[in-house]
Amino acid sequence: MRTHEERREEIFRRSSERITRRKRRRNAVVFSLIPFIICIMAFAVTVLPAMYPAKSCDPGEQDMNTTAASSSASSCSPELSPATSLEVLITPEDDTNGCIVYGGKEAECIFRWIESVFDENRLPGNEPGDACNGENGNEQEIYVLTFSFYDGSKTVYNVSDERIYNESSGECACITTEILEALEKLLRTV
Amino acid sequence: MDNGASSYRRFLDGDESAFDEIMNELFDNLVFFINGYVNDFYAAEDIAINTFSDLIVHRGRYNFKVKLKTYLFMIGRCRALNYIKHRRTHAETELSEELSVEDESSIFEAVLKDERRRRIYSALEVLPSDMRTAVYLVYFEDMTYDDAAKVMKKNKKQVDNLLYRAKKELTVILGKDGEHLI
Repeated sequence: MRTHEERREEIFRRSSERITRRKRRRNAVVFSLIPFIICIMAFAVTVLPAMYPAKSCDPGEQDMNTTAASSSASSCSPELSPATSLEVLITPEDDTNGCIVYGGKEAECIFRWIESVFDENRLPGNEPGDACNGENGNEQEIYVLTFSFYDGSKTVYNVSDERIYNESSGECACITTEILEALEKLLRTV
Repeated sequence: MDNGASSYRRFLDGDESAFDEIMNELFDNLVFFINGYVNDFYAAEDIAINTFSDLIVHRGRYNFKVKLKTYLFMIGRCRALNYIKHRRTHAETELSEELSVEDESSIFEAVLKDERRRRIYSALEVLPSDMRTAVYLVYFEDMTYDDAAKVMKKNKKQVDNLLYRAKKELTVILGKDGEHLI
């Protein structure tokens, strides 16, 4: 039989041995997981984007209203337009203005949508550079959309019940209630 | 005395001498208890050492809700049963070291301090294992029924029944002289 001191030493010796063994096992598990995690990350980066390609935002491919309704930040290809941010000034009837700021991807998505609205609903006789000859000055603006671009320039769109007016170029486009609803939906969803 | 819990708390706070206090108080009893399962003092001592090393390796495992003694005896019992299971499947290799009668008797005397306890313990050898363990924990280690139940992984009623039947058996074994011993 061991003496008290021998027992004590044996207990501490075995304890330190077991602690070391546990640490080694834990490290072995962690290090064996690293290649596995790298494989998963590589799979996620290379294979998954190919399996789920990004949807095109080209307005020619889809109907205007459905495009607006189904648009989201993830379904737009950001390289198509250069807008970096969007500031939306909401002017409701009670005159309590509200402001929402969108990031680059969302701003680009909305910018593409506005562009497509102009392409299809530009008022006759309104070419870029021409002044908008409607009565938009008398109409109550609902939204003021200010897009900022990479080069520092800004484009401001005034949206009323019936028109969208590009302050920078003077272009004007007629919009229907459906398009206005689609825009509101787009502003809420992105 | 709280059966080592306060000493263990001090040990966790960095006082290594507190571990000696726990060992002085509980080691022999644990060896003796484990020997009741394995019938081998060297193996029992070995298992007790591993049981104590659990206190150092798994520092956060003891929650101070039961007595440290109960906790150690629970681990000791599990380790003893594992040892028995392992011994059944693996052939034993006898070492040259002979069991010293003095070693065994020194622990025997350390735990069974008086004549009354020795007489009961010798009578316990004929009892079934569960009864023997229950009597040992309650009458020799002064554990409550709850603590004994925790160590044996039974409920309080089962321990009570085991002790009741053990008393009846011991009365028969020890005779009229033994009636007053229990």
